[in-house]
Amino acid sequence: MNSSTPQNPDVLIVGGGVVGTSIGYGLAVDGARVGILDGEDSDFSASRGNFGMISISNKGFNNIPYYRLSFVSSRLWPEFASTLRERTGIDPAFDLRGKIYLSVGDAEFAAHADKVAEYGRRLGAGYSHDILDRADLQQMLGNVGLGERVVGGSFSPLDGLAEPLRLHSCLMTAIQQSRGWILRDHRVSQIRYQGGVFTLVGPWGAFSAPRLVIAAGLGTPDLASQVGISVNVRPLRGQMMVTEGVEHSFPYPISGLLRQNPEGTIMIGVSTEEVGYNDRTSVEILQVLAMKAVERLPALRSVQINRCWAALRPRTDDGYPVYEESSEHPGAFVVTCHSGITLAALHNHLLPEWILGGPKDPLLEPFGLGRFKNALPA
Amino acid sequence: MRSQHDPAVAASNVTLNFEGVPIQASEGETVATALLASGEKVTGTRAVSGRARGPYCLIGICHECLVEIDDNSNRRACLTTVRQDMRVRRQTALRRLMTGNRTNGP
Repeated sequence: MNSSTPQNPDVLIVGGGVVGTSIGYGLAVDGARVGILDGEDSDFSASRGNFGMISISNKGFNNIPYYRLSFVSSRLWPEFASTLRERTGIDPAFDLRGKIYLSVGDAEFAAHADKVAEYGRRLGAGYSHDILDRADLQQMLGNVGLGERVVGGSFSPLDGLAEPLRLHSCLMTAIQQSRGWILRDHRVSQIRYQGGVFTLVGPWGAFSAPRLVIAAGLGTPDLASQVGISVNVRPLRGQMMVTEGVEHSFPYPISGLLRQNPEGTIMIGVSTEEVGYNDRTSVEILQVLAMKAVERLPALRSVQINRCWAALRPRTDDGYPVYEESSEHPGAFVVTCHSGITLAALHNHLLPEWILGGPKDPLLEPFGLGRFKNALPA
Repeated sequence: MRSQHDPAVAASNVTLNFEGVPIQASEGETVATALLASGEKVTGTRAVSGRARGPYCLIGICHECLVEIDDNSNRRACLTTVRQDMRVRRQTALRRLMTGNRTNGP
């Protein structure tokens, strides 16, 4: 048997983005043989739009179970990151030191302070987020100067970062180290089911496995319908930029808008637009993002933008994740979410057991598709 | 080293300074090709890992050719045309964000 030819695995995963690979890594480390079928460079890859943020402090305002899901994931992240680094030798550059929010102008600051206070009232103990005045913020941010219209902001210790490209490298390497395989340019066109086995078919051939995970972002609804799962996702465009490398200038990510990579490049983003299946960038939106950045840190004015790009992220009907097993074809699972980075540790830790036939963790129960049947029409 | 068949040999009329050493270049060529032609392959080091860097894609995309030109960091050697007495240095650290010794503002 040629060990370099991918064999039919125990679990087939459609989608090699951060969701698919986080799940695949967990399964592979549990001893399951994992095969991941990924699409083509021209596909709308949601992971391309990730910003590397582990965001907890802005989650769950209207959905306490979602806050809980996100919070638990953040507590799992340190071990997730360190074992990935040990196994692969690649450092995902994980950091959970918190996030600073900067408000521009009195009205924005007042609204932000109200929102943070309301978060605290709804989520209670375990939610940590403090309003800060300009002087406190300047002290936390060190030498980099604040824009003159930054009147205040806040700090939450709940949040963190990981470097997007390195995290993906880690996950792919770890899967392959555990004898899993990942095939690019293997878009799945059809799923067949017979006798407890799912066969995934494309122009490249076919693979079969008794268990199937569909984590294909915008491609999920079509594939899910073939295993009796009816799920809806809409594309949400996010635009972003990356700058030339500069010295490490701000020790915390800022406002969901700014973060600095280990190599010194600064990411500025991300917009949220409903423009259909259009992943182009637009000068208008990039200008808005750039303005927001320099309003907060004027020193960024002199920094060159190296690249800008956009990606389409899948949004479910209510914006919250979906974790569903097919009742028509048990063994087929759908996983879709917005915050693939935040939830990566949780996906790695909790989903493999469920996918291999174990119980569905109570944290995941509110995120089945049943909630849409019970919902009132919009 | 330049080939005797290289038409550029006829016009090696620009001298630039690389790490204190004069280098001959041809009017109209880029800093990257001038350095490579003079035998310099290492034009910088990565700030984080210390690994050697040098011109690679030569079309301004890979950012492996970053040098300091006349005290300006992050200049892509492959996109910069040579100029008489240009001072080029290997870039070994990340570009400073704040200019001068001021601690606030641009």
